[in-house]
Amino acid sequence: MKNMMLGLLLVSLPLLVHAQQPMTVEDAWVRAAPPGAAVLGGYMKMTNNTRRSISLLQVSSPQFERIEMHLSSMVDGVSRMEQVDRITVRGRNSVSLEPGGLHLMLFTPAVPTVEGDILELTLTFDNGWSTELTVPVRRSNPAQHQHH
Amino acid sequence: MITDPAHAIITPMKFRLVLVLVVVLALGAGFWFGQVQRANDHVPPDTGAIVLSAPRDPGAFELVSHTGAPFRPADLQGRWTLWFFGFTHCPDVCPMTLTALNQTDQLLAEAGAARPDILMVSVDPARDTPELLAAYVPFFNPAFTGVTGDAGQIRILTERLGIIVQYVAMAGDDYTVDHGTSMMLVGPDGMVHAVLPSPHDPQTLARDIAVLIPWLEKNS
Repeated sequence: MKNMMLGLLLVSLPLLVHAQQPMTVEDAWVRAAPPGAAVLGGYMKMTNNTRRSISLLQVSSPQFERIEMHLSSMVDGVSRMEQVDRITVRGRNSVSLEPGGLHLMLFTPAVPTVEGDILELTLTFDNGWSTELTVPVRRSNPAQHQHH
Repeated sequence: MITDPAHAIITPMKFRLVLVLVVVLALGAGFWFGQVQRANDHVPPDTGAIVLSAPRDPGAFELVSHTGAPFRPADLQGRWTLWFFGFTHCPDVCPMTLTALNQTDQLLAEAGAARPDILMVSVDPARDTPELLAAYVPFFNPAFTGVTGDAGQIRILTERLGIIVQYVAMAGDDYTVDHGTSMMLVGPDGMVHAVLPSPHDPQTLARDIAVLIPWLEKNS
């Protein structure tokens, strides 16, 4: 009986660790923009490790004046972009911010950002959780590079 | 019937008649196939592009390139240009398109195909000064040219080419520009000969352009 309890505890340990991290954020990158560009685009993949929906509400960085969440879309050959106030990830699901779709819009860099720079982003979610990311600045999608 | 030897014999007279018939039929068939072949020559190659049977005239315009040089219809003469419409306050789709166009240009170069000069025409002339375009457009490919100018001139040009441009307010006094994503392939006569609708995948763009330019040069 004692052994079984210990076994259960050991099995549940990884779950407890996961419970401390409701979201996994990976493959984050910011697209290198030409000198003088007022806005940059940022991308990442968010995975919700819990069973409840979690929404990204706010993104900030000491290196930018402000950061907004936007959605690019194509309607009848017209490219549109609209601001969204949250990005919701359903329980046990993932949402990818990718070129041509959901993305972060980073306004007015404090200093010019170039390829190879590392940016610090803070993501704040509606469950009160927040996380800090270090995000590389790259010229193109790292995922696309792997295919070539 | 066939067993009757009288009917099995082909007389020289009959032979001549059959020969004449065969020759007439062959000539007729040859003429018919020739017609079909000629008609096929005028059918544009199978690409993702819309080839305009009546090339569209962009009309008169007086714009400025990122170098500060004037950009007028006369500057299109004698070269193929590929136009796309975008703006620099566009962090997602426009850099993606410029990156795709750079890859397209590289693929055309590798294939030894004709390479059009690539232009980004700003749909946000109020913010896109020649100086800003000079820092922005060549970042993606040093040979690319940014074009901007008077807002009224840009409006007339985009309307003539059927490029939708809509200014949309965002938070604060910021705005974004919804815009048509079709690219225009403009010939050495300054006329739009083909429209390339989105999505713009570098492989498809390069293949289409490599096929279209030689065909258009032969057929227009």
